[in-house]
Amino acid sequence: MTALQNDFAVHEAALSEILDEVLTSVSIEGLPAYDLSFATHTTGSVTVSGAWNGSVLVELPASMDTVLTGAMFMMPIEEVGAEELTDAIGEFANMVGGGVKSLMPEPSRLSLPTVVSGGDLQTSVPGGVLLARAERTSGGGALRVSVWWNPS
Amino acid sequence: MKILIVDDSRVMRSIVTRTLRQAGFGDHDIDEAADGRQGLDKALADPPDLVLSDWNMPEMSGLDFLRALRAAGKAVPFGFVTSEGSPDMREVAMATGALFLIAKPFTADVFTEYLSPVLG
Repeated sequence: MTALQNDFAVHEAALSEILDEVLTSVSIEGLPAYDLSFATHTTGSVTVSGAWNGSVLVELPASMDTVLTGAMFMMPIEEVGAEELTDAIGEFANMVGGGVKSLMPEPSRLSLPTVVSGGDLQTSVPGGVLLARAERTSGGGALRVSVWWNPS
Repeated sequence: MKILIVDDSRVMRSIVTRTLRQAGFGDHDIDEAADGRQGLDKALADPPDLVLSDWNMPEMSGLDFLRALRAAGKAVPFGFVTSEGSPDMREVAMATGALFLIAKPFTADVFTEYLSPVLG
């Protein structure tokens, strides 16, 4: 545990609490069950810039991105398209990012979300320092959120 | 009563609508707009009883939307529902004429607390 982590109170318990608040806010009590018939992975991210600089990532494995989107829209997963997926995962990242930002020194700004989907995504934050990570599992996969400090 | 939800995210408009229902405001008429410009056009043409607006949006931000509404002489009750709820933003929002700022993520209980004085 670094001094930075202690100073900014960004730890896994706080991030885990934010994640649960977001899931509750979008009316998802526990991740819905899903199968692995969809082959995309999706990562949503936002950055915080200002008195504190860093990134918040939301990573979803195959199928969970679609299932989460369907749950947020309250629509059958068969009707979830790229537009819905981008909107929902971007908003999810936006809400988690807003919660993380509220723990950081002001003033700072939250970026618009970026969403990337692909068959085998490997997401990284070059030069970033991982401060905290939280995840929720369902169906053998994990929804993972992480907070990265950009020290440069 | 009529509630205008203004957010560039379709899923967030859906979640706000769902939360309104969960908070007991499901009987009110709900209208939607995808950015501040659309919201302003709708609010001027047919003033709602309450506006729930995001802050960061393309075309026109929620804050500029509120400023334009007040500049047009419309005293429509206005609240922000946004991912950022810093003290500075709350201060600016209130100074511009907003009744409240609800930070995402939110719950039905929070909606009840802030909206009941307006919607009864």
